[in-house]
Amino acid sequence: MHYISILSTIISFAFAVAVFNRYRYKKGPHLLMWGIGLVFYGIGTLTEVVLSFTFSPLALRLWYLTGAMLTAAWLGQGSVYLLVRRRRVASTLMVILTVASVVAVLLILVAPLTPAAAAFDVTRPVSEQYKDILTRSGAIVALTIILNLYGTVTLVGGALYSAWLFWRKKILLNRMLGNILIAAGALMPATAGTFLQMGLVDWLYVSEFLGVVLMYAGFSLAISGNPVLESKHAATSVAN
Amino acid sequence: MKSQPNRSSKRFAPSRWAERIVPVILGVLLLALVLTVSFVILSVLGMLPAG
Repeated sequence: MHYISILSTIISFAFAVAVFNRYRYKKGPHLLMWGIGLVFYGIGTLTEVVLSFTFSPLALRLWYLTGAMLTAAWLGQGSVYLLVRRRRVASTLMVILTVASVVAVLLILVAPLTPAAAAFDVTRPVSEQYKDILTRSGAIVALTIILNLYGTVTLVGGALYSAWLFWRKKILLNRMLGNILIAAGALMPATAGTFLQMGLVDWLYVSEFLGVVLMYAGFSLAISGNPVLESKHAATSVAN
Repeated sequence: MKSQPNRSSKRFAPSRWAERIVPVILGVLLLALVLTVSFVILSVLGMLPAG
């Protein structure tokens, strides 16, 4: 499975570079949030690659922190900045997300590892083993759920809302299709937790790969055409 | 679906099949979102095995 994670990592960082490049000349905070979220995405898949070769406590902590806690929320925050007209609301949510993220980092850094870490098997997915190794307190579990719900609802819901607006007005076909792809891609890793509980531990890696490919394709499609002069439409486009 | 030229390269006229399939796709994705969120909430409430 590490081949899939390697591909996911390369695509995630390439996607992040594309988003940061766009941020350089468009300056929207949503692009900055998406770029940061994609860096988290890439770190999450990169640590999967590391953990498929050797066990590292730091890699395991980073894997959980970025993959399970931060990625979706920061990507979703980008959609909040884009779609919520009241800047004060978006800024307040940003402060809450920042505080929650700092708390998440601290909680994960001090979370004890169990002796099961010594028996970590690099040939098995980390998604199958982490629960036995990383002691997750109630606060960690609660924060993971809240951050994921926030990120999933805002990112997927925001992309679907944008796609619906474009469809209803019959404008900007590329952005409508791009947002559909982004919504579908964002749903992929969001379902991973569900499938993990059903015992489909390998789905995580496939879903991460499909997710980032679909989102990158959606983003590229949405910004295709007239990349700079469409700012009037920025407020209704998740993938601007 | 095909794009129309110019000003209005921003406007498009959906074909008949697109008129049907796009709302279905959006509906399916929305349903998937609702199911995913519901699954997480039910897990939190202890009505499904916790993760």
